[in-house]
Amino acid sequence: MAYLSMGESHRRITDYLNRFADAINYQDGDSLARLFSVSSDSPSLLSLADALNVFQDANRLIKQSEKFSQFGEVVAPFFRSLQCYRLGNLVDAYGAFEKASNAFIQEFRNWESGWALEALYVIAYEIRVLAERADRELASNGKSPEKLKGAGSFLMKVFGVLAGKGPKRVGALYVTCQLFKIYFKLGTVNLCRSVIRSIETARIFDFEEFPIRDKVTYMYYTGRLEVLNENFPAADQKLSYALTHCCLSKEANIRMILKYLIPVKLSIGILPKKQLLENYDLVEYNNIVEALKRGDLRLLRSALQENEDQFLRSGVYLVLEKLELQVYQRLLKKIYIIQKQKDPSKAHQVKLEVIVKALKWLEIEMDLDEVECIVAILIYKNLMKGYFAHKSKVVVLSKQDPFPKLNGKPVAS
Amino acid sequence: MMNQGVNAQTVAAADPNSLESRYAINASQGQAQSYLPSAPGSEAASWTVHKVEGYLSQDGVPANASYQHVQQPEPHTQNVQDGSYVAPLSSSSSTGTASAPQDYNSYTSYSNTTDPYSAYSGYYNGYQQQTNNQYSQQQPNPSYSQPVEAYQNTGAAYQPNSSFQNTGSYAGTASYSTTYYNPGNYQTSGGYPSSGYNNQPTAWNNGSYANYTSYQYPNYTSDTSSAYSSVSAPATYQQQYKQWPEYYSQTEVTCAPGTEHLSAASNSNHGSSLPTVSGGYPTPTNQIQPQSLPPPPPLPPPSLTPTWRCQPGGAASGAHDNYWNQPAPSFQTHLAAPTQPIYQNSLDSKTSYENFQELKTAPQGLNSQYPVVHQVSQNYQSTLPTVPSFDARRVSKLQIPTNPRIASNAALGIAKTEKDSYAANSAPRPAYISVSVQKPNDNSNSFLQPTMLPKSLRGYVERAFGRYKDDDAKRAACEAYMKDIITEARADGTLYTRDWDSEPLFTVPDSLSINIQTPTHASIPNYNKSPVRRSKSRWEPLAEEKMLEKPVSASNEIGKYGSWDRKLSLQTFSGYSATKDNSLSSFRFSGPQQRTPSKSAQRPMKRQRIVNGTGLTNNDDDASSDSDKEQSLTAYYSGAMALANNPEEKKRRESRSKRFDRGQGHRPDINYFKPKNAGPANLYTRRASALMLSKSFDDSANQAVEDIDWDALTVKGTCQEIEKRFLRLTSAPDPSTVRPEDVLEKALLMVQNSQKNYLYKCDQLKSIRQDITVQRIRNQLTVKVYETHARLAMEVGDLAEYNQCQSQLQILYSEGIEGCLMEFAAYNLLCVILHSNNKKDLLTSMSRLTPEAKEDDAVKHALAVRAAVTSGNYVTFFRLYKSAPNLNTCLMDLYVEKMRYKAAVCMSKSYRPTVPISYIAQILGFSNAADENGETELSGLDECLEWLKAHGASLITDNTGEMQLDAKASSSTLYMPEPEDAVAHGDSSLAVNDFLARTT
Repeated sequence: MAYLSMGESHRRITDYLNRFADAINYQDGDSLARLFSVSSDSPSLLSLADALNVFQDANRLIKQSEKFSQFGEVVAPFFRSLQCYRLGNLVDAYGAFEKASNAFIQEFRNWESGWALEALYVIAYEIRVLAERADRELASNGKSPEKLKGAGSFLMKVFGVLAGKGPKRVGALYVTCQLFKIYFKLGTVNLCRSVIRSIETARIFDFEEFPIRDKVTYMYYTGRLEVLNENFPAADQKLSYALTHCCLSKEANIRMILKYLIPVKLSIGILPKKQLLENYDLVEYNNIVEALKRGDLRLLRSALQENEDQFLRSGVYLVLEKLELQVYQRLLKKIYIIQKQKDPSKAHQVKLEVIVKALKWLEIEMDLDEVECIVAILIYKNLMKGYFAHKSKVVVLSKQDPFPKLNGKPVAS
Repeated sequence: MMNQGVNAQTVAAADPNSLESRYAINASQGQAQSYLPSAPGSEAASWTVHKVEGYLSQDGVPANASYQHVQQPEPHTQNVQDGSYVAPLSSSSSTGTASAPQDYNSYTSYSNTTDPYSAYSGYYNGYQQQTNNQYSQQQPNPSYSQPVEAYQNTGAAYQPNSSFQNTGSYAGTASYSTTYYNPGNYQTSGGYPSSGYNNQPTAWNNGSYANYTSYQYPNYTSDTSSAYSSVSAPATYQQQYKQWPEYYSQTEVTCAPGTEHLSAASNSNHGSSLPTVSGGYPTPTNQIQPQSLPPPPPLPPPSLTPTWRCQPGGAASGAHDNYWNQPAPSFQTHLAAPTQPIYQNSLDSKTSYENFQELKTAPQGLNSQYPVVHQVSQNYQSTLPTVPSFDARRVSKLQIPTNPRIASNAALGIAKTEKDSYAANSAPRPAYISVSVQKPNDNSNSFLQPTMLPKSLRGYVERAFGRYKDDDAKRAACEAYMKDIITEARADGTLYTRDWDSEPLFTVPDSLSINIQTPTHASIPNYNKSPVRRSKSRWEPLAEEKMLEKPVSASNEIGKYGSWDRKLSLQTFSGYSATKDNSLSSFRFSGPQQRTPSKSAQRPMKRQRIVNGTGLTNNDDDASSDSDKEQSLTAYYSGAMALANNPEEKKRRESRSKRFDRGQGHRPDINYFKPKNAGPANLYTRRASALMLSKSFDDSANQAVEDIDWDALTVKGTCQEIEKRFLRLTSAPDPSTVRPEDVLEKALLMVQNSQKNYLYKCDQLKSIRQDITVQRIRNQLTVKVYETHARLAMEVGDLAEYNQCQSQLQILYSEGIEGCLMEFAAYNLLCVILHSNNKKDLLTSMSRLTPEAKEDDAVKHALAVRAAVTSGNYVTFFRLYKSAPNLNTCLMDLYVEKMRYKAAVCMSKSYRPTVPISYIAQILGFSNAADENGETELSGLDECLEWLKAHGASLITDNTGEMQLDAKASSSTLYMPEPEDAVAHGDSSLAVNDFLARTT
C-alpha cells in the first residue's frame, strides 16, 4: 500500500461523506448505489478503504458535522465493513455491512418514493456476495458457514419492506431473485415457495411491471424448480420465457437457461440443433442428443456416466436418465423400419429375440424377461402402440402410427 | 355504625334466641349471640367495627362504615349465617370440652356487650370456626401426615391454651382477627393464635384458589375435607364457589378456606342450629358429611382433631361445600376486617406463620400449612378491600345457606361423627371455644399489631403501597410482600427496632401483580374509599348468576345470593369471568369444586401461585409436583429472604431446606427471579436444579446458556446394571442411573445376543442411546449402537426408529467416526428412493457418493434399485430384491407391494390376450426359491394367485388348464386394495398385533 498522508485520507473520507450526503439530498439513487458497492472493487472505494485504514478515527469525522452525523448509523458500519473488506476479513466485513444495511433499510422504509431502489439493489447484492465470501472464509477456517443463511433472513426482511403497495414494490422481484440465489446455493429450495407464493398470488404485483432482468431471473429460477419437480410443461414454459426475454448479449445467462431448458425439451421430445449446443458450449448434451437420435442406449449411458457429477450437481441427471425410454423407443422404431424395408407385411410383428440381439449388439446384456418388461413399459407409457403376446414373445405393433411422437408432451408416468 | 344498627337488630333477634335460638335461627340469632358473647362491650364494638374499625384503625375508618353498610343491606342474611356460625361456635364451645364453655362465656359476653356487633362477633366466631376448619384443612393439605400432626400438636397445645387452637382458626379468619383480635386480646393475648390465625387466613388467601383448590381443597375433601366438609355444608360450598369464582378467584380461594372454617363452625353450630337450616341445605350437608368422616382420621386425635372432627362430623358430608362456604365466610371476615388491619394482622400472623413454617419441624407440619394460609391471607388483604364487602355479603349469604346445610350437616354429622368429640356439637364447640379464646388472643395480637406497628413501619407500608397507587394488582402483591416482611420482622423481633424509614422498598413481581389483578379491590385505599354499597352493587348481579347456577342452593340461599349477586356488578369482575365459569362448573360438581378453583386459579392461578410462591407456601410442596415445589420454593424464599440474616431463621431454614434438596442451590436464583414472572422463575429454577446436579453451578442462573461449560456438566454414569429400561428423561439425569461406557458396551452385546423380541431390544437400545447421549459419548460405540438399532428397526420395518438412527449416523459418519458407512449409505439411498421420493434429496445423496462408494456392492445395488424404480422396471426390481445384500431387502420389502401393483397394471395394459400366472409369479418375485424347490414354486404361484385376486385381476383358465391373467379384462378392474391390516392411524406397521408378530 502506497503511503497515504493523513491529510489525503481525511480528504478522501470527507469527500465520500459529502457524496453520500449529496446523493441522499438530491435523491440520486445511482450515485448512492455506487457508494455502497463494496465488492465492485471500484477505485474510489478502494482508495477510500485505504484512507480509512490510515485515518482510524473516521467516526469523529462523521460526528463532526450535522450533515454527516445523521447518516452515522449507516456510514459508520459501512466504513468498518469497507475497512475489513480491504483487509480481507470478510466475516467482519459482512457483519458490518449487514449492520449498515439494516440502518439503511430503516431509512429506506421512511422514504415514500422508490428513488433509492438502485441503492437497495446494490445492498441486496452486496449482502449476498459478501455472505458467500464470508462463508467461504468461515469454511476454510473450519467453522460452520452461516452467513449466507443470515443474509437470507435479512433479505427476507428487505422483501417485507418492498412487498407493500406503492412505488417500491417493483424492487421486490430483485430481492426475490437474490433470495433464490441464496436458497439454491444453500440447497434449501423449499424456502422459495413462500416468496413465490407472495409474488404470484399477490395482486399488488403485476408481473409485467417488474424490470425485465428480474423477470428473466425469476423465470429462470422458478423454471429450475419445476425441473426438480419434473413438471416439464411448466418448466418449459418458464425457461422458454426466460430464454426469449434474456438479453442476447448475455451469453452466460443464456447458457445457464439452456442448461435446463435442453433437458426439459429433450424429455418432451424436442431435440436441439447441434449448432445451438456448440454456440453455448453445452457439449455435454451432444452425446445425449445423438443417442436419442440413434436409439443408442449405450451412448446414452456412457454420456450420462461421463457427466454424472455435473448433471447431478445441476439437478438434471434424473431428467436425462428418463430419456432412456425414448432411446428404447427409437431403437424399436429402427428395428421396425428395418423390418418394414425387408418385409412390410410382417413389419408390425417384432420378435423379442430381435430386440435382445440389437441390444447385445450395443453391448448391453439383457435377457428376454428384462426386454419384455421394457417393451411392456413402452406400451404402457404410450411410447409404442400395440401389444405384447407373451406366448409367442412377439411385440405386435399397431399399423397406424406405432411410435407416436411426444410433440411437446411429457412421457406418461 | 350502620352495621351496628343492623347488628343490633339482628342481635335483638339473636339475643332472644340466645345460642339455642341461634341454632334454630341460623342467621339473626346466631349472629346476635355470637356477637354478643364474642364482643363484650368495647370488644363488641371493636368487632362490629372490626372490619370497619380495623380498617379505621389501621387504614381509614371510613371504609369500615361503608363495609358495615354493605353488610347491613344483606346483613340479616349474613347475620343469620353468621349467627348460625356463631351459634355453631357457641354450641361447639358449649359442647366442647371445658374450655369451650369458657370460651362461650367470653363470647357471649362479648356478643352481649356489642349487640349490634354481636352479629359480627357471631360472624367472627363463625369465622374463627371456619378458620379452625381451615387449619384442619390446611393441615391436611400440606402433608396430611405432618400437617395433621402439627395440628394435633398445636391443637393439644392450643387446647390447653384453648385459645390457641381457636385462635389459630380465628387467626385464620385474620380479617376477623382484626375484629377478633380485639376480643381475642381481651380473652387471651396469645401471641401465637393471632399469628397463627393470621397465617391461616393469609395462607388461604395467598393460596388463593390455586393452592387451595389444588391442594387444600383436595386434601380437605379427601382427608381433612371431612373436617372441612363437616364444617361447611355442601350448599355453602356451592354458594361459595359461585361467589368465589365469580368474585375473585383469589379471594374466593381464601374465602374458601375461611368458609371452611366457618362451615366447621357452622357445623358445630348446626348441631344446634342445623335443624332450622337443614331444610334448605340438607342435600349438600349430606354430601359433606360423608366426606367429613374420612378427614377426621387423618387428623390426629389431639385436641385439635377432635374439634376438627366435630366439624367434619357435622360438616363431613359437606366438607367441600363447607370449605367453600367457609372460605367465603373467611373472606368475608377477612374482607370485613379492615384490609389494612388485616394486613397488619396478616403480616404479623404471617411472620408468625413464617415462623411456624420454619418451625415446621415439629410444628412445621402445622406451620407449613399455616404458612400457606398466611400467604393466602396476604392475597386476601390485597383483594380484601373490594372483596370484603363481597365476601361479607357472600359470607352472609353463604353462611345462611351453609347454616342450613350445616345444620343439616351438623345433624347428620353429629349423628355420624359427633359421638367422639362431638358430644356432637360439644366437641366442635370446645374447639371453638378454644378458638374463641384464641380469638381473643388473636384479637389482642391484632390489636397489638395495628396499634403496635411502629409509625415508621406504617410509613414504610404507605410508601410501598404508594408506589402502586394505580396498579391494584401490584398493590395486592405488595401487600403480600408487606405481610411477609412484617411477619418476618416480628419473628425476628426487629419489628420495632428496625429502621423502617430506611428500609429499602421491595419490588413487586409482575406476575404477582397479575395474580392480584383480580382484586381490583386490592388497593386498600380503594377499599376504604369505595363504599361497601358499590361492591355490593357490583357483586350482586354476579352473585345471582352464581346462585342460579348453583344447583344446591336453597331458595333461601338463592334469594340471599340473589341480592348479593345483584349487588355485585359483573363489570368489576370482568376479570373474574373466567373464574366464574370455573366457579359455576365447580358448583355443579361438588367434587370438581376443588378443580374449579384450581382451574380458575390456574390461569389466574399461575400468577397466583407466584404470589403464593413469593409469600408463602411451603405446604404445597409436599403434594405438589416439581413445578409446585419450585413455586413454593420461590415463595418460601421470597418470604424468607428478609429473615436470611437472622440466625434462628437460618437454622430453621436449614432444617426446612432439607426438605428441598435443591432449595439451597436455588435460593439465589429464586431471589433473582422473584421480581419476575413465575413462569420464567420456574423455568429458571428447573434449569438451575438440573445444573445443580453438576454441583458446580450455583450461580449458573445468571449464566447464559452458551456460556455454560457443558463438558463440566456432563454426567458420568456410575450405574453397573447392564439391563435398563428406557424412560424418557424429564429432568437432569441421575448419574447413579446412567451406565458408563464399558457397561454400555456389555449392554449392547447383551442386546445383540438377546433372543427376546424387537420391542425389548428397542427399549434396551433406546436406553443405551439415552445414556450415550447424556454422557455425550461420540465414538465407535455410539456408531455401533445406532447401527445395531437401525438394522433391528429395518428388520421389523420400524421406519420411524430407523430414520432416527440414520440421521444420527449421518452426523456421526460426517464427524469421521468409522462404521459401516457404505452399508448405511445404501440404506439411505434406498430410503430416499423408496420412501421419501424427494428428488432434491435423492440428487444430494447421489452427488455425495464418492467414487469408492459407487463401487461398493451395497451402494451399487441401491443405485440399481433406484434406476429400476425410476424407470418402472419391475423385472429388474424383483431381481435386485432377491439379490439384495445386507438388509436392503428389508427396505425394499416396504416397496414391493407398490411395485407389484404397478407391474400388474403395466402388464394388463400391454399384454394381450393373456399372461400366465406362473410367469407373473416368477417375474414379480412370488416364488422365492423357484429354481431349487418345486414346492416353493407352487406356493409362490398360489401366493401370486391370491395376490392377483385380491387386487381385482380377472383370471381365466386356458385349454391346458393353466391359470392365465386376462389382460384386457384386468386392465379395467385392477385396483389397490385397502390393506387388510389397515389401522386407524393409517400406518399398518404400527398395528400392534402385526408388529408383535413380526418382532417376536
